[in-house]
Amino acid sequence: MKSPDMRDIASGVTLIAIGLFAAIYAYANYRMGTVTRMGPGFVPFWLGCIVAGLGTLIAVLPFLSARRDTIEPPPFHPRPLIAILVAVLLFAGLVTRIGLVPTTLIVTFVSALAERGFDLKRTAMLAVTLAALIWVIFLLLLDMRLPAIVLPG
Amino acid sequence: MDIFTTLYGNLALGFGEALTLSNMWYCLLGVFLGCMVGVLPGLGSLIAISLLLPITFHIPTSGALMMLAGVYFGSDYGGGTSSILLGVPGHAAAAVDVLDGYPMTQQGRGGIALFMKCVASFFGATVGILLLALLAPALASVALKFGPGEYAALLLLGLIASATVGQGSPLKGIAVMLVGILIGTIGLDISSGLPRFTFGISELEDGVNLAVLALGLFAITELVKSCGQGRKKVAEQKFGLRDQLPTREDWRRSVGPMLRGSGLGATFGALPGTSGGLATFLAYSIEKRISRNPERFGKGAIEGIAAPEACNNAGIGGAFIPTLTLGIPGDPIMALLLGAMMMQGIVPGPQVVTEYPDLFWGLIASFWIGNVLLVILNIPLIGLWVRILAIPYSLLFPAIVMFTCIGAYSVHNNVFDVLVLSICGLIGYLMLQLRFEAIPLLLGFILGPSLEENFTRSMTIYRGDFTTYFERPITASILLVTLALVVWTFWMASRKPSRPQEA
Repeated sequence: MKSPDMRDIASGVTLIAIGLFAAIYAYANYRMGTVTRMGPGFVPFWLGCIVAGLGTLIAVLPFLSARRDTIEPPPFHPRPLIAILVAVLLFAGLVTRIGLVPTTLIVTFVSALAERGFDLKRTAMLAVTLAALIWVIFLLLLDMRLPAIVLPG
Repeated sequence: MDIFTTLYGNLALGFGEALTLSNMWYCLLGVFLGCMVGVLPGLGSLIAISLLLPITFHIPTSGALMMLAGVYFGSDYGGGTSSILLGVPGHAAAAVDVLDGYPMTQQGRGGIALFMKCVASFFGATVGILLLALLAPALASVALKFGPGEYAALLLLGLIASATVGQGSPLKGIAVMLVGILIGTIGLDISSGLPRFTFGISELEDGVNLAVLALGLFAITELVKSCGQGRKKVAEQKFGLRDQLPTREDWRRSVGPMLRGSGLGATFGALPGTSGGLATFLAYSIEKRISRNPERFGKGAIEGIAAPEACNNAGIGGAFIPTLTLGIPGDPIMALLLGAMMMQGIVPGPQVVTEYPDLFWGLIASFWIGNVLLVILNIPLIGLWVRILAIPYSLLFPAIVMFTCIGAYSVHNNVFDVLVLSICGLIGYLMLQLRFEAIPLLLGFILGPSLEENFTRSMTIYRGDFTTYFERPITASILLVTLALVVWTFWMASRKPSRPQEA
């Protein structure tokens, strides 16, 4: 017998966690009401229960049958994931503090690190072009309420 | 002939609305941007619409919807361009264009393939839009009599269909769709006005924003997934007008396939959950089967472009029928359009046809105008699209990261949405790794609130008795269809060792 697929078990356990959390949180904090007059907790509670139930099925089924899903997910690449998430978080942290133009430069550099073969000169050129482009499109043409650059002091 | 005089009046109203200068501009902008994003491999209509969704919150309703519809037509069209020229489909529905389109490019007939694609898609779109204009008012007048119970049942059918038709496990599809509904409950509850799952964060009281969720699940996830993947180069081609004109023989071969493809597409498009290439592959295989020399297929047969392309575009028109008249979207893009409508304060459903006739008919007219613009943009500008295809990915994706962040920020001019974006992106990538599909989650998120509202109201009307659902003829038959769909999906899934990559 083949070992059951770890990914299915992980999926099931995640769903159980989400479902139980929603059900318990809704039950504890929101009024349930009756079937005729449902309170705000009614639908989230039962949804949570069904999600947890389906999660249990998904986690247990691989033990019962030897059949495996053959669709392989793409290989896990931590590098682009981290680089892009960090870039987005940097945007969130910086854009109102230092302005859109310097943020664009920083975000471009960080997200360029997602790909192997980082080219400093090319990235610098891209960052400058992009910063100019974004300044023209979003601040000059679309008139977004964001500072172009915030000078220290 | 009464029906045609009404149709004429309605279309006249629609064109009057759509042909205003500002609406034409939004339509053109949508089609152009859609084409640009669609041509880039890996960036399909979903990402194109997600990227432009934040902008639409700041422009008038009809212009916003016309622009989004233009983006849809444009990016769908652009996806096929990359299929033909690179052999890399821009999205699932365009995969069929690779089969004969890429061989034609290799034979130096890429220009002709693109031209015929343009003609076939215009023809198919026209058929689909006419069908939409004819059927939508009739369906809407039936649907106006529906009560909350009928709506709840229909919404459930639409959600189950979207959750089970995907490529992955149907069980996971349903589970993730329900999680989507749970995410949709975040924010102030409609009936009680109490905040739910906001954990004391005031920014969450409006709920998770649709554009932010879509950008996280699709754009960020796709960026992470495609980093480091190599890309092909475009083969040397001539794209002068003369190199694009099909021969008399090409025309003769394409007429029949276009007619059959349109018919098939319009029929299938109206059924929920059939998008993503099922009908187009069917159209292709029908042409291959009835052809006198099927061995030409796969080696650059022009029928292999004309039929699926007409089918695909007729299907878009068909897919708008349930979306606009019932508020039940047939695919995730339609769901995003519905979401955009809701953001503009319009409750989707049959009353849209009667309460906002100028919007409804204007939108239908703009579909057709959008397709005319596609023809105008694509035949002379093909050289531009080829050049865009050649942009290296390493230059492109930092720009997309920036546009995604600015898009999320611009929804409320608030950094909080950018934080939510990063969380949605992480969730999207983890879902990909655990083989969950993001599309059912998005549909659950968009339709969940109205499912909850209609279900709650129906239970009040039915005095808390669930069995009423099975005593009323319309709700009973909708639920029966839903049940049959579930049983059939699980039966198919248990028979086959694994579901195929392409339906």
